[in-house]
Amino acid sequence: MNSMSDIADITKFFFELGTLKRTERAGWSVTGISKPEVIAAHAYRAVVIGYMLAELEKCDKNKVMRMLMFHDIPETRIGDLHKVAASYLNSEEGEAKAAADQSKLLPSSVGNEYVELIKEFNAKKTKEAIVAKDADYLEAAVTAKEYLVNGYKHSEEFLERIRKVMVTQSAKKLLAEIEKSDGFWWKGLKKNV
Amino acid sequence: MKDIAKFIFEVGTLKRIKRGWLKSEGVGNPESVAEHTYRNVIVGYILAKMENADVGKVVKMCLFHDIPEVRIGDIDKVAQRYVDKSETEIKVLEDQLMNLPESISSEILSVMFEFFEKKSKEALVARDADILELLFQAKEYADVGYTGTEYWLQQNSKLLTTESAKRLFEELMKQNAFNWSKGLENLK
Repeated sequence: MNSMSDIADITKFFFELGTLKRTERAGWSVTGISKPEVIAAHAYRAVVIGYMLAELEKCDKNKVMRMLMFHDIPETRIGDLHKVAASYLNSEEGEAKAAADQSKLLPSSVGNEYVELIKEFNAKKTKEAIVAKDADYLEAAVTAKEYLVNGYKHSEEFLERIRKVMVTQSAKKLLAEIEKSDGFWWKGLKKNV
Repeated sequence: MKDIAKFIFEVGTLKRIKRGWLKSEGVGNPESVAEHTYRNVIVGYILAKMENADVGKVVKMCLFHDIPEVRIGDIDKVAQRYVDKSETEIKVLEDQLMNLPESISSEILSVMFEFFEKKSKEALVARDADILELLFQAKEYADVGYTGTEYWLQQNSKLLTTESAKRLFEELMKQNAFNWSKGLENLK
């Protein structure tokens, strides 16, 4: 598994991943946010949410986490296409092609898992895929709420759309709590002066 | 549900906390902690496979170990000369997880105790994944033109313990960080 050329390819893959730290999430620019979060920042919290949601929905946690770790990686090659762009370009097909190419850089056991889990995620049929999708949308919803309390009022519209695509009970309940909250988790934790 | 929602908001702070590259390298707009952690998780996943360690456990160690930084900030290597965070992190984490469902908090805490002990194979692999991520980032800044990162590349690479991580480090020093896309362009 670990010949020198394998190591060279894995190294290349890790450098490629760095692109996600520099690529902004495109949808926010349409709603008027000029310096939005990057893909890696979104993916990080999506994995954490996926972990929690899989626990609440009693399904395979590791699988849900991996779907959320992997499914944004093809965006290093095709960028993040927002919903307007997606009405002109077939991003799902492009992502599948990019993932297949990327998997050649990885040891075969990892590469196969990578391609298969992205496929399963996009097909939205298994329990794990449904939970992972909900986690992905939920992350966007929390971010929208954060933008909203900071004055970006168009995020409200975005939250409404997300409300309609949530599937699992736990995700729906969490979204309701998120919408009720002001997002200021630190209240009560400050040292008194 | 209310407490889980609160925790998810809290964790989001890591998307806005910058890592120490401004102080050490003058990088004006450095990466956030969340960005570092994301690649750290993927590196951990692959490193665990290469080292035949428990992949699920390594991934969780990588995913959760930066969460205390929400409350105490990113205490970099220079700051650590003056502020001792080693005992504090686990205390902060206990506070952060206090109101979450028991099944979640107990799993995260037990994985984190193991990580901070730096003894088990999984803890060593996760630690190497954390350092490797930093090394990849340092090389990216170096290839953009931040010359000071050379020093951090040498210093931090000495901390690696697993064979696979050491070989990946040797290889990353040979490559240019931005070569991966060469040859992939469609010029039609």
